[in-house]
Amino acid sequence: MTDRPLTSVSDDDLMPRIAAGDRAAFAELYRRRRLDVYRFALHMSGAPATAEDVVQDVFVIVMREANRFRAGRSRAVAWLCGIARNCARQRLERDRPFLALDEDSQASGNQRLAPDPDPVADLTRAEGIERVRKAVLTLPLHYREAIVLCELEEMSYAEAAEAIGCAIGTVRSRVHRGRELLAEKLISGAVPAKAPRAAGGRCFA
Amino acid sequence: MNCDQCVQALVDLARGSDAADLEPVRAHLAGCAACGQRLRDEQQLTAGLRALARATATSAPSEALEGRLLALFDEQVAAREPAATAAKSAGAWWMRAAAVLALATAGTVAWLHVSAGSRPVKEPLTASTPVRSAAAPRAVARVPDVQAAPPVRQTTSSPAVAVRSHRGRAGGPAKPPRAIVAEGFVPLPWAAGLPDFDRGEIVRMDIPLTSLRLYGVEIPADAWDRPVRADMLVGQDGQPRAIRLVTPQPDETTMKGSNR
Repeated sequence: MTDRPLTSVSDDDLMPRIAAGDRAAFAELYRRRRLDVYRFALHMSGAPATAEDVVQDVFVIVMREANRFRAGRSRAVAWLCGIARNCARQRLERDRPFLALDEDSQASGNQRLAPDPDPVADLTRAEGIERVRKAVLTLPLHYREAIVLCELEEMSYAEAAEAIGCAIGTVRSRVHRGRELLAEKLISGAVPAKAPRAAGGRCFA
Repeated sequence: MNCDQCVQALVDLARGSDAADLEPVRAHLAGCAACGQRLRDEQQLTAGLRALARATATSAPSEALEGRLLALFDEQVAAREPAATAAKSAGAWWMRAAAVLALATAGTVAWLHVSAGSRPVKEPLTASTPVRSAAAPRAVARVPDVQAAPPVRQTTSSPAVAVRSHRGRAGGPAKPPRAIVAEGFVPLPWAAGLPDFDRGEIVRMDIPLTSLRLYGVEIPADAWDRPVRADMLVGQDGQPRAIRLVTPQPDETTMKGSNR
């Protein structure tokens, strides 16, 4: 252990301190990475409450299993995202039977947005962003993970591969396919006005 | 490069990759309006995804969550510390006890050996060697394999004692010699002058706990009812070479012997 301030200690070096019961190290890691984990879970689930539950699950696992982290094998942030991925999947799977379909969606069945003459023309405005968010939530889980990690969390293919636990080429192909699906949904107007909350393994396409 | 070959690379280009191998794609785009349009669509999608990322950049879990997690962390550390302290304390006690036990037991065995003028029955240590009790005539559990021995407190980091068996299995083809490494033994001080260990046996014996006190070991009040059992490593000449303390504590590490 060194006397360096914790803010200058890398994530990887915080892990053994956490395993040794260093409260300040745990708090530091939490403050650094809570947003990453939360955003990942939020993009995966579409539900702030679920995202917060996932953050709690992840950091409870960290406090119990920090000694299992191997600095040479992966980076802490990828390790955290890997845990978050598993926790999010479990939450989505667990919550699936209790997720109610959105009222508007029920009322309108599989209502589609009217095709836009240029549906991808401006996805950066508020309405466009909302459509993208909903489209992401309707992706099958493994494409959604890849899109969230690489496009929204801006991880490299290699980092995402670490988090997901698959080959870099697999991540790349999932990102490409995920983008194709997103484009199809946005162009065809296949994203409902209010997308149902994401559910584990369910494809709404 | 044709359009089909270009399609996969367009995504990387739209995501902002500046890899050198994208140069042929850029060259193709200069003369292909369809791929140019597709690239613009991909770039729009990238812009939309990045806008979404920016829109959620400030999303955060509740402030209360940090407090809850830190409280959980404190609870976990508090729960871990008494166990660690108890294990450390027990470990220190058993280390002292093992050292004195080695002296006491070896002295007893040597005295018995000299006074009785008899030598222990030599029984090569094999994977199925039963453990004989030298001090108690009652039946003791067989130890089918060194690795399957009861939990043992490893009292030393000295090199493992290698024991070789040269006996084949009766009624069957002789197996090649098998080396068994038994770790955790404390070499007896006077064993250094004995011939090199070639083969031998492990004799398990029960030692009266009170005998440890005669050698100045403080025995905790709550330890009086604990069994004190030791494994004596006896060589081919019947002379004890090393000893280790066997404790029945469930949280002790298992014996680190290994078959090679």
